[in-house]
Amino acid sequence: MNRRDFLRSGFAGLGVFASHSSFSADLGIASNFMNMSKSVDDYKTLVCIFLDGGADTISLFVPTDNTEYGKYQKIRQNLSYSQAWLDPLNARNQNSDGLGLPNFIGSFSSLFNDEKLAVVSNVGPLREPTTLAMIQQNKAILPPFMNSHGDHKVLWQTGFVGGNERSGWGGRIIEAFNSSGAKVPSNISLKHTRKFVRGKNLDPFVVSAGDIKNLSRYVDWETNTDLPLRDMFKKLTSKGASSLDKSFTNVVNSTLGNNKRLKSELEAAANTSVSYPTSVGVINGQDQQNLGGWSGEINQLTSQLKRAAELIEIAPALGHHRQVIYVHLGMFDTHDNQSIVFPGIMKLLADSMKAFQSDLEARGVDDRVVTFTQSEFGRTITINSDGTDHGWGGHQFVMGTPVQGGQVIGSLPEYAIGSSDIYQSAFIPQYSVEQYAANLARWFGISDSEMLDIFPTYNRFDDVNFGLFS
Amino acid sequence: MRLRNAVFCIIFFWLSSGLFAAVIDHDDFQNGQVRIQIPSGAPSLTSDNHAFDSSVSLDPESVDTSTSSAASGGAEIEFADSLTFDIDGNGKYDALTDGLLLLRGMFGLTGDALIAGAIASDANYTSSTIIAARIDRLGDLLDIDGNGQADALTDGLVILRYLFGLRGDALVIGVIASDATVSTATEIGVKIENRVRPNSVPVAKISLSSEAFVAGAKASFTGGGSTDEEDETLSYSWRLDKPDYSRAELDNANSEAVAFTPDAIGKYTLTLSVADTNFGITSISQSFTPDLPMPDPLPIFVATPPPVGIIDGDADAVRFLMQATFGPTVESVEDLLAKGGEAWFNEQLNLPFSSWGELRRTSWIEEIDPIDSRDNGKSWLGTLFSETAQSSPDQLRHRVAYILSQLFVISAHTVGGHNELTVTDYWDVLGKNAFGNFRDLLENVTLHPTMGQYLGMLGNQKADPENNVRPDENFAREVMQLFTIGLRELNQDGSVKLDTNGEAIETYDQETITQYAAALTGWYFDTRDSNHDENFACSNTCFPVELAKKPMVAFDHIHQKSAKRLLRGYYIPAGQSAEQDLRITLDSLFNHPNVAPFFSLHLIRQMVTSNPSPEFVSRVSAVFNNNGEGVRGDIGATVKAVLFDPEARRPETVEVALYGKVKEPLMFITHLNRLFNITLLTPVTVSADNLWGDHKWMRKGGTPISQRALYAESVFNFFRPDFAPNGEIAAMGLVAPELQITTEASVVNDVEMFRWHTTRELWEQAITDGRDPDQFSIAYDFSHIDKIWEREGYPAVIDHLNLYMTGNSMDSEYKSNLISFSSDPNYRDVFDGKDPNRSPRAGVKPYTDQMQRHDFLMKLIYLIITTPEFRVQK
Repeated sequence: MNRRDFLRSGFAGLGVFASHSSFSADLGIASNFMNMSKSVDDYKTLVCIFLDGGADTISLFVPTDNTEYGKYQKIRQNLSYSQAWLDPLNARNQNSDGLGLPNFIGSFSSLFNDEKLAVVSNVGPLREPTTLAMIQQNKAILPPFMNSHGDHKVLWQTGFVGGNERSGWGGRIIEAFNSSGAKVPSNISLKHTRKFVRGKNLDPFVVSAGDIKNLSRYVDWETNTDLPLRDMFKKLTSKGASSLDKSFTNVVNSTLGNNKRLKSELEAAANTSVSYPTSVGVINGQDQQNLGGWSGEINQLTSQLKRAAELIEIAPALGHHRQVIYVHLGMFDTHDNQSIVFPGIMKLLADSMKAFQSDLEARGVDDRVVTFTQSEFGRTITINSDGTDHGWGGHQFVMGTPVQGGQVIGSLPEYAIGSSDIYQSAFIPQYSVEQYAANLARWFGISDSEMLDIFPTYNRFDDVNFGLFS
Repeated sequence: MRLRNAVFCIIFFWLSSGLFAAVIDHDDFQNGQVRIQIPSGAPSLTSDNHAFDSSVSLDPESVDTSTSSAASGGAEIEFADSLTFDIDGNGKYDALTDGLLLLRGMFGLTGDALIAGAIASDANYTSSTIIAARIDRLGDLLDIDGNGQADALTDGLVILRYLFGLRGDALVIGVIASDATVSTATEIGVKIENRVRPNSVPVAKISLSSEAFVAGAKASFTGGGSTDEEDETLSYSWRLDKPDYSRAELDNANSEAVAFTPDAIGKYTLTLSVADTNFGITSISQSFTPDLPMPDPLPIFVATPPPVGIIDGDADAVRFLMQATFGPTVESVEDLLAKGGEAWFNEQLNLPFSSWGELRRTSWIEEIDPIDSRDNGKSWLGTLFSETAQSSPDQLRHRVAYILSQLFVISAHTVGGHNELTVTDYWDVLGKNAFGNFRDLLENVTLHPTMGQYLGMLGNQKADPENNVRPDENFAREVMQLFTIGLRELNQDGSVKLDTNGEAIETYDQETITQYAAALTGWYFDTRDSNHDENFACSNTCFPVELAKKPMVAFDHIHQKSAKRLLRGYYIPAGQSAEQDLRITLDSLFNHPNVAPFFSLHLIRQMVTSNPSPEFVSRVSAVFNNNGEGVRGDIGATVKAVLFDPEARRPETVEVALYGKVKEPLMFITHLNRLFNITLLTPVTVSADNLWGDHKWMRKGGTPISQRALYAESVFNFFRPDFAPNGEIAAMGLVAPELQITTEASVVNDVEMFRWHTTRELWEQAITDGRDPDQFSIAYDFSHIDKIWEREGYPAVIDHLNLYMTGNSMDSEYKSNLISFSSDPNYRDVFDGKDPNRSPRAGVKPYTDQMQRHDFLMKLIYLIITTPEFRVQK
């Protein structure tokens, strides 16, 4: 069985190949079964911001002229963004006349106009290219467990529909590169969600967005050096044990070793010179304060982004030629109170991403970073009394200096009830997750010949170059 | 045609004479209905023996064209008798009356000229206009010779001759038109005979041709059992009258058989009009009330009482108390062993519930924060949890409540205003139902305003199609996916059912969710006896504090009244109240075969082991399905079935690939808090003016940041049941759910909570050394271990910790490693049995020997809690 066949068959489970013979237990990097993993000299980082809950991004593209706006308003009722809030959208790759973005995502408009931000239209999990006609004729195989948060998160994070794949595409693209020089794993989650950055063998590394702490009786917090009791811990955990025991011990060992190394390297990172948002601020003249209950999210998001910027800056010192960093933002499951929560959380996202881009520029590392969003699904075009429900396709944002910004990739779905772009009130994705992810992976350095290893279902879809990168 | 012109004349005459007002409603006519209104006082046109309505629907296209020609040209008085030559309606056919009238009519005579001397004395019809109408309605039937027109000199005369009794040549010679198509005497005779024989009206009959008349199922009816004495071709016309809210429609109102789907429980009245070709019409009505359909039955489950509670020795008691409570203590192990498993369990079932609401009222929380200071961001939930976990006697009930809180998940992170009181009450609802019935629990959870707000059922309104508004689907989806049945059909042993392609079978689809969402509309805060308005769109900021504990109530006008198709044949007929809909909705979930394995797996994974054998799940499911007394859903019995199952009590006798579970952070912390009676030393100084104090409100051991009860990140709980880390567990297809929240970041936070604890003795010394007594201090209570150490020596302390912390999981190598400290020169002072004269730090008085041991014990415990012997519960 060659490697490709192995991976193709592999999405039913990796069973026999996955035995964990770790050559360096506390490094958390398993012996790399991908012997063909390649070495590169340059540095690149992909930052995934996961919009947890299912972000209603398609609703952000609003008609500006009265007639079309009236139709939009008829659909969206009390969730319509005021016509007066709209900033015109000026896509340079296609006609976007008559469309605007609400001004609470003014930071996105400005990044877009500076050609640092692009929008990829209507992406979602698919088993195969799918149209309404195919669904109606019962000819389409839809992804399993449609509209379930948990299952669609899995589909987005694994990057394809198939079997019970446990790894994420962020982890698999890291495994394609030789990581033998890495001091700590370079597939990093800044929240406890690890699926996206989990490799087939490589364990994800969860890094605190706050102080990097350690077990203080084993590693001195002040000096970051080992204490004598750590030897006893090693003795107690060195023997053979059950899989549950080993799995737990692996995490403790990764904590001890990786946190220690990371902490010492992080000392070299500069403090951010950029102001990140500290509040949602004012939307349409109203100070949002804590209207939407997002007080916890503000600091969580900005501290994750600040930590990401530091990790990117010290990537060379960490030996991270390739880095994938997972950032999390919640509150997108707007079944209720959407008119307050969604503008607020989107403003926070847009303002924070803009600050992050500035931070990377200030650190002089922006040319090697691409930041992009994922979200388990878009939301229904129709509303319930004060919110929307789980949909399917959604727009995603791609930001960075390497990005050919100012573009809307793909066609915008027709925003009308009864449109052939809509099934059961949800937008039928125009691009699959793997098509979206492959464009990012290609920039990262994944070759065409490796694409099928990373996304075993990739050849079910057209190999579309979005033109996101020069 | 001439005759048709005559008809128009007649109608005109009627109108102008004012004798009748013939009203032709254009729309009705379009629909094939012609309605003639006859003013009171006009001659009766109906006869008693016919069920004949003054307004009858007829489709012109399906009625014999010979009779419809007149009707299709305009208005027609409808006579009760069939199309005969008995013009004056006396029941006889006479040449000198009927024959003459016909002939005159065909000559175009009207008024007196038509009727003079030609009306029988016993005539039913005497007016010239009516006589004319009766002739007129015969239309093409008068064209006896079949040349396309009715002529007096041919057709009229041949009828007259026939009525005079002439037959054969005498009948036909000289009166047959040259272009006749019917010319022989026999043929002519038959045509006339058809009109001089009385035509009986059909007998209409409605029969249900489906097996049953059941709501939600298409029912077919036939008029095919209708009869006509003359065996004429019959045509059918149906009408359906339906109860309120029904959207039932007939599929085809003009065929012999019709079908419709009754969707409301109420009277459906079918009216069938059967017409023969001679205009004989009968209408009958029949009413049917559908039955509610029988849902798919559950299999018959054998009565399975839970096993008798037996505890075998102290290690088993420790293991049991890790599974059933918030952690073993020396006293609780003694108590359990003294009572035995059965008595202990029964006692726990019957202990009074120490509710959080009561704890709030009786504790200092109420004094400090009587009106719920959530608005300030202050949360007491952690305090309530710690107090309960550490001290409440009804441990099992609260542990089950905690387990239920991880199934029926709400999160205080996102529940809005008056968070504290409503979440506190939510816990109490879980606690009250912890040994009750799953069906009651499901209903109480569903109607709790906390859940209502968290998953959007509160204020969820019926669809408003005009404005493209649908009901909120959030609760409908999650109550199925997460609370009751899950996504995949399960066998009773918890394994996933597969279809013929080897794929899992989904339990429901989007259409099901839509139906459930509609059924669950109409609920809001119980504002009925309060001053609060119903502002259904507002759930977050309008949470009235005094309503936070009252179950939601139904507001009928926002409830969607359409029929809903639920799972497994459960059906909600149209027009029901929100309460009625809720009952059927929850029944449909409670009576799903998935519930037993779904819920049993949850309990087993939370209490005993992440990867139970299918047999274990089967045994627990069986108790859920039938507790031995014919009751389904007995949670207390199901919990007992989990705890006293052989696989829970004697795992060494079971062959499973991987036994046990990782202790989630909260359970490992409560375990330590209880075992070492970890307590706040400093007084509670927080006050209403100083809510934030110095965290001194936490008088018991705290809760970890990585996992706070009732603070899951989402409705998907802290971790998912199918999580498996890389390596052997994933490779074997097994799971370790708790490891999903065991990360490099969380391990530090959880373990470090115990890094800075002290003991009372160390703390008192620290105070004499100048420590601020008000400074936050939490202490272990090592009094029990002190005694063991003094009486039995250090190895006995290890045995003690081995038993109470790990349920005797340490092997001899592990123990000897720990014992080796006693010979380690670095720890000489701890083991030398002497009070040292050196100070541990500058400016601090020398520790006593006891203090040195305490300092060491804290290191020892720190070591143990970072190893799997403690963190993996076996």
